[in-house]
Amino acid sequence: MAESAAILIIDDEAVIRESCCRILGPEGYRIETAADGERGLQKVKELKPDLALVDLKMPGVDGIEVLEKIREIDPAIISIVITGYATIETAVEAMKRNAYDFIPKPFTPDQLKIIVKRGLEKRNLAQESARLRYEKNKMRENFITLVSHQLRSPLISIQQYFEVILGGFTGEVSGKQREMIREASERIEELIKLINNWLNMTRIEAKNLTGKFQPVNLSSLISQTVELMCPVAKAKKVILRTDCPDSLALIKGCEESLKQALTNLISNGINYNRAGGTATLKARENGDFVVVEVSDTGIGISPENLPFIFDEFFRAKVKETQGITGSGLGLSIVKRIIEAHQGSISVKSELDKGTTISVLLPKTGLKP
Amino acid sequence: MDKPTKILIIDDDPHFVKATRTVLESKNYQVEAVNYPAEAMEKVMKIMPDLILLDIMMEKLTDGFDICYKLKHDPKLKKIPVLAVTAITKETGFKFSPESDGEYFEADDYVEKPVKIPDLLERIEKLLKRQTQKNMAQDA
Repeated sequence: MAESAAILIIDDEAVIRESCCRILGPEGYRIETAADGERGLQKVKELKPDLALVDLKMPGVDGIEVLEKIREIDPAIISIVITGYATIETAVEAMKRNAYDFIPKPFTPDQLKIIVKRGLEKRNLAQESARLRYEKNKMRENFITLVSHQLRSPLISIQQYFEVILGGFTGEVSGKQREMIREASERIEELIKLINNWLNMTRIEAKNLTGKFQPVNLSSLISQTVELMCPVAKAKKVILRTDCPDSLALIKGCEESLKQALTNLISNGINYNRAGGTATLKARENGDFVVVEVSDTGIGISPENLPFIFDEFFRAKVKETQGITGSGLGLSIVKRIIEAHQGSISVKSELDKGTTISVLLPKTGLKP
Repeated sequence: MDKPTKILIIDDDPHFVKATRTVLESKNYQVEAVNYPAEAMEKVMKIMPDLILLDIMMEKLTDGFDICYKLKHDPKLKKIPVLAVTAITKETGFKFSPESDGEYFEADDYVEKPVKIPDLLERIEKLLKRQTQKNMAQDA
């Protein structure tokens, strides 16, 4: 240990304080003493000791209360109780207040040394594991940021070169060259999207979405999302329909991620469809839930593929999906988002007829 | 003849610098670049560019923010237009926009990477023109 451990002895008997100092002093600890509970707690605040030896029976603020207060000041401080009347009841009382161990009076120097050493070991372990937990979380967050930057940077550089070449800044570009560079650029764009999707998914996992929860008005969220998706539907010659009451019961959630879930579902309804087909978004209340259904008149999913559609990177490899680009993450992201909202998601599909995805989200009970 | 317009690119990605340099030099700008955020301020003071292209996320997420703050809080440098160039978008999960972060990030304008060239050139010209007008107004 870089710094010697700090030990505070709170006992009204001078002889105990002195003997503790004599026994523990040569072990290299920094030792402070206090003759009553009140002064003891003052020193706990000032000194933030690693370990406190607390006499249970003291005039004024008694040991049990001292233990309670130490826990309030810093629950990581190891408290060890010194007591002349070690009964089961007092033991239970003390343990309830976060005491780590007991040492009955009278004790031998070795008993004290061992119990203090063990207590400090426990504290080191607890500190170590808290630090590791913190670092793990931090690394995870940093890792996401780092991955975002490191993975995207080279792709963005490539895109930048393409821009410069296509802009004619490096000499004339032939029609065939232009076409191939465009295609290469589109492939890179797909890869960037894949990385973005993967990052989004990692975020849903890494961060607790519930921290961002607030009452959400699904009907306005639905109309916003549908409006955003209209140009996409138009480009694919798919009719986008909405069947949603103006007012739906509020649900508790993260608006941003719910919007993403809706976008992914509608986008699937459009992309895995046929020209002239329809994608419909229906929403209604049902008992304690709001039900959102996205159905399409598209290519459908075969029964053998159906169980896997929420799996990461799964894409049905059939003739009909060949021309459709996708990362295979869209539905897994939706599933994660819905499950983070204590909701559920299910699918019904018939090959060549179409697919319906139903999402159930619990109501808050609040009025919109 | 007028002195050529000097543009400084502050970006840790040499490829972005190379690609952008090609474009800007073809438009007769004089291009200088610095690859390390730590060297940025020294370079700015040495060459006193007419405009700065500033990458936001370099070695650290906040490099561009730090440099921009220093530039905009230096009486001699704050008049140099800063065009922020960033790969940080809503899609990467960061909330960054000149509207919401303007108070903390006083860049004069910003473009997203990969940069569309006509857009980049247009923004550069606009910022330079604005600066010239400001200088003229001050001189008058």
